[in-house]
Amino acid sequence: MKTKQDFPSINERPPEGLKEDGTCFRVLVIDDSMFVAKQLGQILTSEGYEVVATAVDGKDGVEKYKELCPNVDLVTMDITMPKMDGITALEQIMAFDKNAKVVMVSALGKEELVKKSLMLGAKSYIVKPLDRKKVLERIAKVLN
Amino acid sequence: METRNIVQVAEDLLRETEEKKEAISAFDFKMVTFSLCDKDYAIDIMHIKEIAKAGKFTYVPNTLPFVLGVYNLRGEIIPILDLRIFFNIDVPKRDENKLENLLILNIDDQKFGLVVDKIDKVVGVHKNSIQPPHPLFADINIKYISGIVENNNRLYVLLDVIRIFALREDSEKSASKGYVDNQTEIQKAEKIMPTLPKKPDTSDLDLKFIAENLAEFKNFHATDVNRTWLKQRYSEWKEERGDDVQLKNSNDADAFLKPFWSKHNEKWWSKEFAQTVTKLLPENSAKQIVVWNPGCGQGFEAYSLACVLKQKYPTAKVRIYAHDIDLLAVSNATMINVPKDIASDWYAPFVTQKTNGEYTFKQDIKDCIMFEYHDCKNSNTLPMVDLVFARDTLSFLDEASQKNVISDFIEKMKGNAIAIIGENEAMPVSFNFREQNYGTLYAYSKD
Amino acid sequence: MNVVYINPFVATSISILQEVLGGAEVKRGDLGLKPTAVPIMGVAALVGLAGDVEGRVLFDMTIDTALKIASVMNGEDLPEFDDLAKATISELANLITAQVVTKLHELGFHFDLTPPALFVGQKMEVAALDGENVEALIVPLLTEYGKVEINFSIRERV
Repeated sequence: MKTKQDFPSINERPPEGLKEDGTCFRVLVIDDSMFVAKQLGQILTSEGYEVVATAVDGKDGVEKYKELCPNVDLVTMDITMPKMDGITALEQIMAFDKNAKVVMVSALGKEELVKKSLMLGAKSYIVKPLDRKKVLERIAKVLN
Repeated sequence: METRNIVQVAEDLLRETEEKKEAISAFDFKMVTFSLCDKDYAIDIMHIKEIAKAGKFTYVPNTLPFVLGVYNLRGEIIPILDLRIFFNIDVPKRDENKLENLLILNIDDQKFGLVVDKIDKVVGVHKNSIQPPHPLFADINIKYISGIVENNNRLYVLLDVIRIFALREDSEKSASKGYVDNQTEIQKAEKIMPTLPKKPDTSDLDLKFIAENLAEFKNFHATDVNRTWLKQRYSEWKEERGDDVQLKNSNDADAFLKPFWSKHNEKWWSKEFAQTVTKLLPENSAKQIVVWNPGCGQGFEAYSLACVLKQKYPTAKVRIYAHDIDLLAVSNATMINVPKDIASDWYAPFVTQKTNGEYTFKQDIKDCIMFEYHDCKNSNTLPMVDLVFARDTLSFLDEASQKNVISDFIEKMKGNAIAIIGENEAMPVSFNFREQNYGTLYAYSKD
Repeated sequence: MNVVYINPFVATSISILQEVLGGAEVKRGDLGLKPTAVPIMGVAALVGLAGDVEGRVLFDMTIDTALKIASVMNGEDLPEFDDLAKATISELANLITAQVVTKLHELGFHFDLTPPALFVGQKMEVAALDGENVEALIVPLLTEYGKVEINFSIRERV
């Protein structure tokens, strides 16, 4: 997977995953693909984020969120998953916690899906294949 | 033209024999010997007027093949025959500029020339040494042989020119009859003497080779669907090309197939043709008219059909499934442009002008047609159809596939559906289609 | 296969494959049509389609090619075709099919895809749709790691 490396800047930037108080932003990754979870995990941890948990389908994702709350700062959500798809899971999480920050990460880029997710409360929508820079930008924006 | 005086030659010969010490009884028969295809022949010297060498004969049209033409012999026009062709033996390729050896004969005050390979000499023999012909000794028709004679360790076949001449006269009077007789005689002789190069009837074999070449070059398969057309085309082709019937390359195959293509194949339809098709279509009050158009090519048929159908069945929804295995053609079909002159013809109500001035079909026409990249040999997911329009498609499938596809047609055709195939194609009898024709178009319906 | 689908299928397959392989050269072989039941080269990733059209997209390649592609996608050399490699190839299938669905959606065709299924085995044959042989469009893609054949078999919901 080609990932664009940030050019080393003269001024050292603090990793985006670190909050001001020094602790990491905690992320829950929900995706049925082991590969994507690994990939996202790599991108996130390289920038200082902490992946607190991974869920393999929508149902599992909702459950884990309910358990971990409020120790989760951000959720990444895939859409095509068995048992429960990402849109339904999003709905349930938002119902559970209206302040949840969920970012959709999906291969499907259908306009209607994007609109629906944003209307349901998702904070952003990223289309796969994953571009490291874009992922980090979007996540940082949501968490700002 | 050089001439050798025959009398001079004869005299020389006499002198020669006179010089011989041995008492030889005088030869009572003299003949001029020559060769045809390396075989020695001879003709009674009494018939021969002179020997000559000549080049260009004036070709006379519509004569039998062994009549080469006429020649001007010192002011007298005489016909020239090629004895080799007459006897159906291999003729070396005629060199236009080479001088041929001519024997000028005089029979019944009629002069004519005979072309032979080589003229040898005058030979004198005893009449009683001439033996009656045995078929085995000669490889030309026995009727023309008056005898065989041996001289100087060489065997000569003595030709009966009178007979030959007589036959020639007949032939000239009733050309085909004489020739046929000649041919059958030769064939009879051929049966006895297998050494003669045969010319059997090769048309079945030729046709088979042509069919194979068509399959190879153009993917055209000769089967029951096109057999009638193929036979007729073959006889036309044979007449055109004579002996050179075989298809040697793709261009030959193209030329052969040219008359096969249905009218308006890969072209826009004329008003008349559209009207004929309209007449062919049965009355149908169904709400949906479904058409299967395999082999749609660039789409001319599909679009024209859409217009015709919309006109004939204005209340129905038209759906045409247009299939082809030519990906490029069928992909471009969705965006076809209509040339200006066509757009103003009977297609006018169905086209619209684009912003760049070009014409294309209105959206409701385009919506009728589903262009698909599909091989009709594979199974399809079509619903039941009212019309199968497969022109010049079946002939380009191998035999087994043709049968399968026709079975598919039958399976998918509704009770009152019709199938229209190429103008030179016909449904094989085994499928029990009912046939109805309108001009050159045939509509097949299920029985 | 409706001709409107063909270009999106082919273009997407090439571009995504190229992207995940880090810009490596991907050449398209000649397109073809086959009756669906096709023998598999060793690894098959299957993604289902449902909606206005129904059918499936099959990604076919040898184990060797699959391993190499998975290695490139993960940025590390995978020694054997383990769960991670399998997940990677499944993801590849998902990516391509999903973008196809998106593109066709923009053209007005509405359908969805199912999560991918991965099959590994020798002398396998993936059989046809509900017993009937629905024709498949074959798109061969040639990469430096080997050939990937994409097999689209869909039909419209009548």
